[in-house]
Amino acid sequence: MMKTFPVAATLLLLALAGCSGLRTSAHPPAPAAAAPTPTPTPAPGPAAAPVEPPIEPAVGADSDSHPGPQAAAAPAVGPTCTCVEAKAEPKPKVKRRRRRKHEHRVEAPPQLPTAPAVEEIPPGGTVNAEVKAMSVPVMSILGKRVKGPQGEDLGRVVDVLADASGRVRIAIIDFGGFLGVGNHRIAVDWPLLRFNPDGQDPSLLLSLSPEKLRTAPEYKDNPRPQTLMEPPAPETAAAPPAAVAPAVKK
Amino acid sequence: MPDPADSAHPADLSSVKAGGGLDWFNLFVANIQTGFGPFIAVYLSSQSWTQTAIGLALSIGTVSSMASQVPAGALVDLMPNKTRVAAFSVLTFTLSALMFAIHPIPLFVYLAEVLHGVSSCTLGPAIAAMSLVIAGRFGMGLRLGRNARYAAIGNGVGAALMGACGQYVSERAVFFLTAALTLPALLTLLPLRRVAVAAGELRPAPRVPGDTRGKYWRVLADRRLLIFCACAMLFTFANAPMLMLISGTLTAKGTNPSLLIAACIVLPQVIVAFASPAVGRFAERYGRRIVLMVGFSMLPLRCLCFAATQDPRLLVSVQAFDGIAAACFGIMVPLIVSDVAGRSGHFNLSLGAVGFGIGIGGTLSTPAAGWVADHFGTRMAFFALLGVAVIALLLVAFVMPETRPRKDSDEGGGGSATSSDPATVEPGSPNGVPRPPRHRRAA
Repeated sequence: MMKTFPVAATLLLLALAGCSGLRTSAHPPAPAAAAPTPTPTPAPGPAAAPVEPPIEPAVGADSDSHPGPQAAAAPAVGPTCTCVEAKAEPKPKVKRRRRRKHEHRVEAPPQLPTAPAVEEIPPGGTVNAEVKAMSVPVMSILGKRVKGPQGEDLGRVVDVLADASGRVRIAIIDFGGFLGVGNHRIAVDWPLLRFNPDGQDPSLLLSLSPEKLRTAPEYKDNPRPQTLMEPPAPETAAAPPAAVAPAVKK
Repeated sequence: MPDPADSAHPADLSSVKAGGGLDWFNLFVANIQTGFGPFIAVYLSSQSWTQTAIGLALSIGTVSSMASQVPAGALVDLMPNKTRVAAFSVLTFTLSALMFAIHPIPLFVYLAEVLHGVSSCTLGPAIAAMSLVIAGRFGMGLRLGRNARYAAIGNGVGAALMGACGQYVSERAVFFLTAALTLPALLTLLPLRRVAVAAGELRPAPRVPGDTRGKYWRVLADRRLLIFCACAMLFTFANAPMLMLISGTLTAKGTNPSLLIAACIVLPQVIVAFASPAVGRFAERYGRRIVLMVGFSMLPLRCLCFAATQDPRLLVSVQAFDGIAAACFGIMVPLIVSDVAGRSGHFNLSLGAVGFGIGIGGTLSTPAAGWVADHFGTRMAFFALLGVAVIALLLVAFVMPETRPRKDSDEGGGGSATSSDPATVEPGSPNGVPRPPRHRRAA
């Protein structure tokens, strides 16, 4: 009795823990497994994909991939204060989406030199990487507080999800709750977040009202979570879903 | 107090002081434990921990506390001085809180989780054993009522303090506060240091050569203990996921979800603080089963209310039922175990066994309820929990025997009122030597 009880319990719990561990770790591999399927439509996908692999830590890659376009969008302003620029951008999403694509296209040539280096690696080979200072300021994402438009606390980023091409698509935001009880996890479309890597207190800005977050469905660990995203404008309506669908579909 | 149970034991000065010390100790321990709750997940995610790593850390904590429930109980049985066990456990809390606060790297966090899990398992039984030593078997209901009252105050104050600390200072500060609160907890143990030395009959039987394993087995296989284990497991199974389930509704419908959830946590504690002494007295006068039934019947009520309404204010007020249930359940667990095994020398072992049942119920139920809620909706999840709660209630009503010891059968080892099966109890009690009813000679 004395011996069997704890042992059985431990086994049971280890099994449980294992299951939950698998479940949480399941989704990053899932897109990776789907990776071979080509992402036909979006220009951002392929453009971003080759850029990211050389940067090893996931967080670095995330934050890097994002400021890229923004920095390119505001070359005149310079690398500082990208966030303000991004916020100051006019609302119409049609424009932004389009510009984004353009940016990627424009940006692709200068970044391409690094891309072939990656593609040439034979399986099991290595890159002759060299150490350089990052050209744009970057910030860590996990655990960062997210602030609303009025500076209100909207929670904290607890996870970042990428699609098959490695592009970050979703931030999971832990919202509400008291002392860890009753927290609400919400998947938010990545472009809704604004970054401020230069500030004294690097924080993320999310242009959503707390009401939106409150009423959003809880994030469930599946390959295609219900996500808070910008309502698709009539013209580009087809583009974002098309970008998501083939990437995740297997 | 005009209570028969209360007047039964003389209140000499040292035991009054010791009682006061135990009150405050309960308060501070509850304070400390608030910091080690689900808040750890918030803290670790603020430290850029991934969800997988946090899950692993919490699982390590759960596994280590589950695995050590029964062995820790047996260990506390073997220690003559329960105060020392309590002090040692609190010191371990200090250590693990500091590990969290100063350097939350995986190694330290995992180690702190293990240390906290194990020392929680020694602390719970140590508090119960100190109560048993101080109050004696017939004052146990009152003593446990006081324990529950002060623990509830500690929980409520702790939640408020740490919530404010996390909100306005920093997440890290919560763990420094937790570590700081272990100091007053240690100080409150001072008046207890000589009092709570267990008298002979509370220790395991003097080593009779031969069948130690058989003896453990007999204590744990007591029919009343097993039934109560099952009841406790089902109760926790039905009870544990409810707050999680309503928090979704509160977040979606309320204007200030964090405040509403805080209210859902604090309101039951207020009720427990007010109701506990009365519950303890009631249990001593009218028996355990009726209190258990009151407590267990709160669960189906809550399930029905939660399934019926979506109004945040109503949801919060239904939490009052949780306070009643928590008061009844929290007092009945150590009380019934002390009825069944109080003098067998394996009180803490038995308490550990019940704790193990509670742990299983709590661990399995949240994922299970979450699964049902995901697939069939929150309302269905409440109906599923309602089913479990009704089974638990039926088990208490029709299977669970009364365990209150009869006053007149003072020296009978396991004087259960219904004397369901005294045969299984008697062998467990040390060696059949009649004992005086009070266990405070060591004072």
